[in-house]
Amino acid sequence: MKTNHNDCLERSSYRRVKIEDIELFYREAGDPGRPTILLLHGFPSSSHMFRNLIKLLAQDYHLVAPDYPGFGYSSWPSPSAFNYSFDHLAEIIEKFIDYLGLRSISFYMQDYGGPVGFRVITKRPELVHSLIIQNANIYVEGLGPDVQKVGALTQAKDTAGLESTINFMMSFEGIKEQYLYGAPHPDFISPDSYYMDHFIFERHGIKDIQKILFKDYANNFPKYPEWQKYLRTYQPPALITWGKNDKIFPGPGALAYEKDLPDAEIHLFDGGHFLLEEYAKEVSELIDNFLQKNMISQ
Amino acid sequence: MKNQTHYQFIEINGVNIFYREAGPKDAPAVVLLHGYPASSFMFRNLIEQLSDKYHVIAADYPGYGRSEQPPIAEFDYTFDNFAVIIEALLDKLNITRYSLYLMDYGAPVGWRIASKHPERIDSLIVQNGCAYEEGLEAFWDPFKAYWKDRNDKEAEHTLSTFHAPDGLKWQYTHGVPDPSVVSPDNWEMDLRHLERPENGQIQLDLFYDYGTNPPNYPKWQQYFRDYNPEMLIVYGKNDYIFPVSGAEAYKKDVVNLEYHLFDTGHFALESFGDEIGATIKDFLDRKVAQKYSQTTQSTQSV
Repeated sequence: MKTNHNDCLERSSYRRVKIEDIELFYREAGDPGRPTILLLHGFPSSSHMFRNLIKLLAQDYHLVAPDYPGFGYSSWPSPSAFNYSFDHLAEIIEKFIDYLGLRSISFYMQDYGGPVGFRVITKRPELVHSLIIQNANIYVEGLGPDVQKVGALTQAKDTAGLESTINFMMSFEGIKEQYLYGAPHPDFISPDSYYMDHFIFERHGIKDIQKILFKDYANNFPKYPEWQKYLRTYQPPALITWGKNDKIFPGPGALAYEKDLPDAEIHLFDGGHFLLEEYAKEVSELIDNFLQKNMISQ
Repeated sequence: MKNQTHYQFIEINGVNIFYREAGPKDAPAVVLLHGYPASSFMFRNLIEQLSDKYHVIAADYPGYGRSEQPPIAEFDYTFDNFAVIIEALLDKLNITRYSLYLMDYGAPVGWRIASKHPERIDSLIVQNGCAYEEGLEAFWDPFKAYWKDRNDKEAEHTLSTFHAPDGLKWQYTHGVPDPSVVSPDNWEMDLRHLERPENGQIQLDLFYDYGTNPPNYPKWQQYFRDYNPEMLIVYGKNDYIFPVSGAEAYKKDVVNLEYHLFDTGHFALESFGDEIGATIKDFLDRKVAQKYSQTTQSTQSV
């Protein structure tokens, strides 16, 4: 499927578009006439987490990676001016998809990308070509020690405990841990990753916004059955690549998809939450194989 | 995973130095020297391009990127000292022969090393880095005023604007036909480094110390004439900081010169990384890798 095409289109570009009152930043690369992969990032990162994957796939695919409001380089209006919730982030992404006129999309979802992406997908199944799921959880068995700890604190109404947990997750040490935990080769993890997120989180007002979203995360669990039902009903082609040592969403969360998607292609890696920092090349090859295999059904 | 970049720290002369390293350790070495006020971050993609066949090393100078920023009172922020640090790093890593990539500040750092150790140099790759007076055009007027009188507050103010947010973004985007291809990661990263306490003063100290470079130009040019190093020029031709006149000038002294201009600006790798990377690879394959394989063969036959 490699043909001559303008190599300028392979260059990443960095753009902004106005969605509602948000200046939404996004990275885009590749020929828009080629199959589109929409990259939905996790906490506490941004489209920056996809910088290497984008380069690896830009020759054959059209890649689009937005930053949600309150993340990366997108604007972060004060909570009095913008309702920060996963529902609203999903609405923004849906509008963004329509603004760009994206169709037949492969949704790459990591971490927060799951609850954002599944809201869009279940509302607009016609947009879906396939799913690429990486450490994005929609099953109870995929909730790791970190999430269970938050659940226990919530149940005990331990607000001080919750506060210190989220504060740690937003601190430099906490962000770094999310990148390094479970990574067998820590010296392969570029410090660009956690420093970039840290720099962004130090901007005025970001942490207050993140706390609101962190609280709202609880509204995702009741939606799991709905998202699972979507999978059972529509049986979208799915590639699941997962860092099995992740303590937020460990390996069992990947295997759980098999219950609803018996045909899913599942790959567990000896890696952590931000798998792409260590395995971008391997994941890009799996994506390429997976999408080539599923192109016929397009 | 064999070519994956490693991110490491090493203590050099009491300073904790951060460096990126990739590629086979027995392959020809390529040492990447970054510009102001960037860091080895500017080489993040080039490293991946070269590391299948070359042993690539890119360190951050003290006070830049991830390297430690010792207090001004305890460390000489000078080009002499940066060259000492890089040389000591290469010694410690046991890298005895190498090609140098010299960009912006990387040029005065690298010319010091190359002219001191011509026998260590496999080749020189120059990207918007200067060794000639005629390459210091209008952009350098406030610098020249500052070198003359360090108390020239007007000059100092102008100089500080280059690493203020607008000035920094200008450095990355000026002369780039389509600025949307330049990643904002560059200035977002640099700005946070520049915000560290004392860092602004470090930048001014180095601006002042840059005045030690032009007096060295004749010596470096003499080095080119005496040793005829293999040189590749890959210049962004719209750079206002180090304009093409500075690239042209190498032709006077460098016999073994390959010369490529790209329609872009100062941080040429950001918009023409693929093209420049391919040009460098082709150059290194012909000028350096072949020689290495011949040496290996002749050693084996002995």
